[in-house]
Amino acid sequence: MTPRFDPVVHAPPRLQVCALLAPVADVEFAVLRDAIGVSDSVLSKHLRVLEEAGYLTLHKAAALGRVRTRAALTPAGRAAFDGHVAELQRLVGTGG
Amino acid sequence: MERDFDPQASAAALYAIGNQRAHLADRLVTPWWYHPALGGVLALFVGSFATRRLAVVAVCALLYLACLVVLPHAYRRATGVWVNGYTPRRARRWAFALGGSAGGCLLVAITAAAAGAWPVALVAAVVAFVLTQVFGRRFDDELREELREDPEIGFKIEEV
Repeated sequence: MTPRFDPVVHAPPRLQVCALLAPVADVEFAVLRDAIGVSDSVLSKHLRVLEEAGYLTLHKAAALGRVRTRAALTPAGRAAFDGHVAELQRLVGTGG
Repeated sequence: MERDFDPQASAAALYAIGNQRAHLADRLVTPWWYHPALGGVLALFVGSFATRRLAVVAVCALLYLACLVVLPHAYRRATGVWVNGYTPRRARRWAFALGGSAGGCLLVAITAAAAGAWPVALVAAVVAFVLTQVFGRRFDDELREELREDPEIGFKIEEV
């Protein structure tokens, strides 16, 4: 993976969102919110930034009268996150 | 923005990523019923070939396919997360083993039924159930381990 600084992924809440989404298929909004420790509106804002960059897709599904929102990284989002992590490792001196 | 990006800040960011991965690993506890249910419907499908009745096989096949749709939904509802078998770097070998064993048991059952050796199909059903439990749990264990120790992330960086 080529190290590449990505300003969209760089913001700490978005970096953490990507860290949670990268190894799995999708994560519910509430799980992301609780893990990162931000409010619904703050998380929504960061998810929108990632979505507008083409790094993330949001899927809403109704179940038992509740709407659940799931977030998933796109291949472009996964590549951007991997490149950003590689850049972090390069700066720290642990990367190739 | 990149000017603020010194080694110490980078290490802190990597550490935060590692912490989130560890949090995710703690959360990914497969419900106790997941693997028995998956193994049960697979065993039913594989064992149905012992009856050598197309209608029974068709019903069991439909039940199996329905469970392949319903079980991920139930898993998502229980954990808030879904992991397909192919995304994890190391743990996916167990997902491939699970798929391969299911296919192998089905093949054995079909061949045995065609040859009139129906008890072999029942044995294949039991083997399919057992292998689903073994490979499924190995997948879960290795996935959690991978999330906690992912060397690509550098979670072990402690000097932050």
